[in-house]
Amino acid sequence: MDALEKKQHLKTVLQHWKDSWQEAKRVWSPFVKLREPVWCATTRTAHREGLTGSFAMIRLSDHRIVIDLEKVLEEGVADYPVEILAHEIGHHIYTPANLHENAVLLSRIRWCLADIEDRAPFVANLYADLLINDTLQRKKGLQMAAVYQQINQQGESNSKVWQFYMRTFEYLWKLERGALGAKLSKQHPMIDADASLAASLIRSYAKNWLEGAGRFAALLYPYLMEDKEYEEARKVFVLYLDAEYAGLGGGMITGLVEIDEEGLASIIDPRVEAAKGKEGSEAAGVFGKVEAGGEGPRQRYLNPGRYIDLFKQINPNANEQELINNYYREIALPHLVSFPLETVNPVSLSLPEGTESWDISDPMEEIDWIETAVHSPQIFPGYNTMKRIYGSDTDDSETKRPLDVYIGIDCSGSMGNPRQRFSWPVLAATVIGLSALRAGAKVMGCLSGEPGSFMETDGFRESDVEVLTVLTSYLGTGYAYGVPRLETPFGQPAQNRSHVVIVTDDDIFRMLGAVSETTGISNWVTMEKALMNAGGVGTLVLHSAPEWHREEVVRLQKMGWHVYYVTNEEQLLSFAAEFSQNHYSVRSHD
Amino acid sequence: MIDIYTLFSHLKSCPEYFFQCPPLNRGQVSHTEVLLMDMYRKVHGDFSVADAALPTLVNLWQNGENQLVSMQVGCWLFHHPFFAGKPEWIIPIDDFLNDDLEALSAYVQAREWVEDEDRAEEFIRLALNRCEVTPAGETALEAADRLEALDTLKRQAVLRGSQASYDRIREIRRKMAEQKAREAANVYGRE
Amino acid sequence: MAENKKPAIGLNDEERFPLLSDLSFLQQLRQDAHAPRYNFRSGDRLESTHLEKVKQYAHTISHANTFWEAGEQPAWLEEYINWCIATVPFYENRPGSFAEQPTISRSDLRAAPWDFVSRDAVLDELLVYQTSGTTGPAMDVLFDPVSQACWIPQLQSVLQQHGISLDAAPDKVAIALICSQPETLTYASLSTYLNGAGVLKINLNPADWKSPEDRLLYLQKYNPQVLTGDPFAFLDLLKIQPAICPKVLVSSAMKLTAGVRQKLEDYFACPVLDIYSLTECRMVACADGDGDRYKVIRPELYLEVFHKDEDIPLPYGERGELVITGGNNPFLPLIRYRTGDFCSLEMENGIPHLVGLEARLPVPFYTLDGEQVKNIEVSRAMMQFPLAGFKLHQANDYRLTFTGWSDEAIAQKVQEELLRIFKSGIAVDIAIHPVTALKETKVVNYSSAFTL
Repeated sequence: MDALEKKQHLKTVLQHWKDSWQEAKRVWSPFVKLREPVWCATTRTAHREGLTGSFAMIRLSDHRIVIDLEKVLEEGVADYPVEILAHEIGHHIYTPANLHENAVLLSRIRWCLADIEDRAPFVANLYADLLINDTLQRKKGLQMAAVYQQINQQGESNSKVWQFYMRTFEYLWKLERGALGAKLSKQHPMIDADASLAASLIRSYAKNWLEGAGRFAALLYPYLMEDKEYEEARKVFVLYLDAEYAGLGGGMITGLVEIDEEGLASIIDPRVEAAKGKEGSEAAGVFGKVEAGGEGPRQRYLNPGRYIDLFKQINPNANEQELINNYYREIALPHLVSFPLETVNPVSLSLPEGTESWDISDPMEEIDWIETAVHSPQIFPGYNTMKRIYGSDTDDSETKRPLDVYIGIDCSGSMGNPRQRFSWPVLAATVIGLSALRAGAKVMGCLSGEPGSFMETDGFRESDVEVLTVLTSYLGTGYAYGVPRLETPFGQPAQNRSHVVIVTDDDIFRMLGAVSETTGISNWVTMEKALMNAGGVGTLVLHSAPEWHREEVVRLQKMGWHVYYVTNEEQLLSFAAEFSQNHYSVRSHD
Repeated sequence: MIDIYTLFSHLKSCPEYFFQCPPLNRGQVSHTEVLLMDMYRKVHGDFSVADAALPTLVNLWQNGENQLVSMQVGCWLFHHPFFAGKPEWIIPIDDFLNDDLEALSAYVQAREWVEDEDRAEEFIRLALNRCEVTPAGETALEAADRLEALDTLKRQAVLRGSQASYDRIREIRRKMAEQKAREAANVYGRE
Repeated sequence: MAENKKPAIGLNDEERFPLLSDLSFLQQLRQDAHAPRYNFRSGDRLESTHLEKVKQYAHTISHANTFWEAGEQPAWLEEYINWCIATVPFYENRPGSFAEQPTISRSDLRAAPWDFVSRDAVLDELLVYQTSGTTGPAMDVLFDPVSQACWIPQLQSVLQQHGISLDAAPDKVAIALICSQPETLTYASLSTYLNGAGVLKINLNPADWKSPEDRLLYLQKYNPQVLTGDPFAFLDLLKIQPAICPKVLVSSAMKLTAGVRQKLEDYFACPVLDIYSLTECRMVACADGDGDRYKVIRPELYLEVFHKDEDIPLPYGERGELVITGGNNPFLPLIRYRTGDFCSLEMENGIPHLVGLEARLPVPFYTLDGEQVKNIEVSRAMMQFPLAGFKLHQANDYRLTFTGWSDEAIAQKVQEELLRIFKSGIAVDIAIHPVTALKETKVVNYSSAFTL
């Protein structure tokens, strides 16, 4: 074929595929709403869409299908537009269908792939393809088997995964042995037995496919255990992998932090199930539910490291900081004070203080027309429009506006990294911080492990992202919270009054005994002055016992510091909830 | 000659009545026995045949409930007109119901013989094989291959061999992953 | 925050040392004003049954006079093979006689380490060591607390032959593992077997210490009885001139050259021993005098020399690849394991000796500024790439030639990595071949026009 002919041929094929689009949608339902696929005339343009290896792929984030027509021709499947398009549509409307289900699917599969979790997207793609193709072949009457036969003409593979997979289709579609897969001589009784189990699994879980995912992964596990087998399998399947990265660019998905109990319960090896007969499916536990176990409140949450790994697998572009923020935010949510129902209105009795320019983003009703007209008779909104500003009436704001809060956390060497391991201090700080922000207060967060390093927000902030980003970081230096840190916000009397919460342990007394190298001021003095300048309630949350450092504690109490003892880290959460309730719930007044 | 699909749809329509297994009362004829005798007479083709000419059912009470119900499902299968009036099949059917189903009942629940496609097909093929009937449209070789692919007992034997070693490997790998995580956790910040 | 602060998934010190009731020396070693910034915690996790086994082992290896006679096999061999065939999945379908056993290599271990775990091994005791890949691509080596702890009796048996004994006192540092690397795990630990004596792993890199002088002050204060390390690390130790008096220096990981040995012996005024050891089965042999004969110290290992490409055992005295059978690790029982190292075997009074061992000569590389680069740094950096193997050579004009085997286009990244290690400006030639083209068994190879 010369270039011109080739081009003409491609055009005909494109038209044929375009014409088949409606039919492919109708296979599923006349009401399917999906945009037409992105048709790529060359493999190079397909690459730009992120499609490599296969001739088709899906993206859940923008509900798209991408087709590489050059590859379609190359693989000889140009005559099966309805089959292939209907298959891709299947990923969008059947499995995994959306970002959330895709995420849950991967998370369930991961539980079953001990030490080879990296293979979860591959397993998920294979599982979804089995479900979709079985539906299309048996219930919708499409010729999926023919597509496989066409592609397999290029030769059979030695990959056991491939043999298992093809044998499963043979079982599902009652095809002769070897119709799709390996020649008789190559067949292994093991593969045969497993494929038979897989076929019955696919039929049983066609509707509740998420429940079958763990079983499928368990079935496939021995085939993927060895790197070499897996690599070989990837080579054969690369052509079919159209949904491995379906979740790419999908943004935050909530609900994955909590351990999926239902998912864990469905982690059963079908071999065990079959061997015991369906009656005795106490087969669960094979995978060591306990060891995989949860962290955080009531041990209900994933380990943060695992959470990040999972999410990165769902969406390799996910930002680690965003993930870790979300992790602690989600765990904190049930412990936050409820949203304030009444809004405080500090301007109601406030005194006008002057004017400043009104910006296009300000509410329309704030424009002071008279002032504006005084400035210029010609009005250009956002350029010369003016608004009146009000100074708050101090009495009023003191009674109604919640106080800001400063949260200082000991992040010294003895602290675990909150990214590797759930951290109670970080959760406690998140609960207080988010409660305060919800109530309309500002928050300053500070991690300190001194002598050594510290990290803090740039003053008191209104953004939960800024606050969480600091709180979830890790230093692991020094031995205690560095008292001189208090100088930054409270070296001078604070403009807005603020509560001070410091979470630390016994080592703080060693720190208090020290004297600042630069100023020569004792940390005791700094501690006292800070509380006075803050003007709010000061609480030292001590991981310690009341009988230790009694004298020093009395000294702190005389300064006005409250000392809250915790003997285990879980109590930090009760403290945080209590503190938030007292200071930031709707009915409280400071 | 009969094809698999005809018997398949017949088996699928097995009435609920055949799944019942009321407890045996002293002196009463069991539900299973009633169904069996009824079916054997139909296969024999002569309804007036004496009980003594049919397989003895004295040991029926020894079978577990799952096997009894499976046998009743078998009764439904052999009620298909294809088996009617073939007295030479009574012995093979008896073998199927007693020997084959006894072995299989340890692994397959009675309802699966009807509800699970592969098991239904296995049930039918096994029964036909006992009666030395090759399904329509298949060669004897094809039929044997198909039956072998569905063979629960054979699959069980394979699974028994593999399962224990997989369990151990999975356990080892889980421990390996745990250990590596633990080692990673042992790395602490600089103090 | 006491016990709760540490990540619970990691162990606490009580779990690391279940038999030691007094851990104050450990705390002292960690919290010393001059202590390095230790970045890891490690313990031997020995329970009393384990300790018994370690002691039993120590007795066995220190009392074995004759391992086997030339032309014979050790008495334990057949039973060991039968046990392997009966309990280790990898050996399951093997013929029963030792003579018929094929060899295995590192790649078998790497592909499926779990297949080598004996059914007799207690999985709760599984420990993993991830090799950094100094001598090949990284792999997971599994072992248990007993086989792990046995390195000390092995070391003792070597020392014993040189008339040196370890002072196993709970307030002394018995052994210090000396490293000199940009980054490595460092820890202070105790040995339950040595009654709680200290075992340190320290890195001489000043970045690991609060102040560079602390390296001297700390070492001098605790004055370790035995220093172990590779020749590079010892040379770096020499540079800081510590006033310490070890009883012995034990060099491993690379061949100790005569020149380096002399330098070290002159300075430390103690013997410097050269040990041949492998991650897969710990210490195997110790150099005998300064010739190139290594005396084997392990009666529970059976050693043979094989043809390099074919499964043909070679007679005593003939040169070939060293092949090992045996060991006391239920997580990795070895049958004819190819070590990748070459030598010939000689029997002397029933004890095998390795002659002309060609084991990992230290290969010095340099940046253009003359700064030394260790091959382990290169190995470590290459671990991130999907390489089945590689070779690196440095010519005397400093030009680097890298040959790698990979199915992915990684040349650019490898180049960037080498430039990072050797600093910019150095000339690098890179060739990446498909994995199928890899024919050799030893997949990581360093060579240099420079000598140490």
